Amino acid sequence: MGYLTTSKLTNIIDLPIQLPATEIKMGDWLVIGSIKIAEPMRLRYRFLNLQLHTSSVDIADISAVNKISGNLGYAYVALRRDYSAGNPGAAGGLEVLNISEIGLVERTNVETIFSTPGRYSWIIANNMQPSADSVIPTSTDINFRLSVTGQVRLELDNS
Amino acid sequence: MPLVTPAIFSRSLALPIALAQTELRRGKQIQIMQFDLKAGQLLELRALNLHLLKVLTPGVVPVYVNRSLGLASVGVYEGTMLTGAGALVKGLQVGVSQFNPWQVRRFISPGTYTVLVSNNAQNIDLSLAVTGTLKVYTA
Repeated sequence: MGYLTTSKLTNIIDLPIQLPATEIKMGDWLVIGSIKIAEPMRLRYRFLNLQLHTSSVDIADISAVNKISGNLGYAYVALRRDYSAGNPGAAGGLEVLNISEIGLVERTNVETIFSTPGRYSWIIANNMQPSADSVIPTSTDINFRLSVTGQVRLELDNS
Repeated sequence: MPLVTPAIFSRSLALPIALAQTELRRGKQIQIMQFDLKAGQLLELRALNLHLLKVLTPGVVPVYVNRSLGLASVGVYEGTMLTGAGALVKGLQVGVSQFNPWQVRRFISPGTYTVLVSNNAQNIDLSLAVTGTLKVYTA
C-alpha cells in the first residue's frame, strides 16, 4: 500500500452525478451528466442513490405491461458509453440502477473501474408506457418525480 | 513530494458543477454555480465537460453571438463583469467537449467565481448538460 502524495491528490477529481427532484414524463429520459476520458484516465464508480418521490398514479396499479423494457424497473439510471441518443435502456449499457417503488435505492455493486476511452453518460429514464392490459387507463400518464445523488472519481493517471 | 496528511486532506473540497440535460434557448445563459474565494484559498479547475446533446431547431444555419465561443460554451468567470472567462469549454457541434485536465487552471485572487453555460447562437435552441468539479483548497 503506497502513500498519497499531494501530486497524486491533485490528480484525483470527484465529479457529481446529480439531479434535483425532477418530474420525468412517461417514456421520457434525461442525461444527468457526461464525462469524457482518454488514456490514461480512469473512472472509479461506486456511489449512486436514486429516489422516486411521487407518482402521478397509484404505484400499486402499475404492472409489468406498463414497462417499456421489461427487464428494468419502473424508472432507472443507466450508465452508457458513447451515448448520443435513443432509449437508454437498450442493450449495450454498462450498468443500471432500478427503482420500482416510492423510496430510495442505492447502488450496491462493488466499485467498478472504467478505463476504456470514451464518453460516459448517466441517463435517468421513466420506463412507463400506456397499456390496454393495465388497470391504468391508456389516457392516463404515468409520470414520476425523481432525484439522483451520486459521485464518480476521476483519476487522471493510473499510478 | 510532500505526503498528504489528514490535515491537508481535510482542507481540500470538491465543489460540484452539475447541470442535468436542460433546454437552453437561443442567446440565453444559466448560472450553474458560484463560489466566493477568500484570501489564502485556491480554486483549481481540471474537470469540466459540456455535452451538447441536441440541436432543437434543426436545419437552421446558426447566427453566432460571438463565433469564437462556439455554439455553446461553459466557462469560469471572475467577478460581476462576464467579459472574459478564466477557463472556457466550447462546443462547436453535438457531442462532448472537455477542458484539458492536464492544463490545470488555478485561481488565487479573492473574488466571486461563477460557472456559466451559454447558448451563443441567436437563432438556435439547444439541449445540453454540464458536468465538472472545482476543487477548493482552504487555508
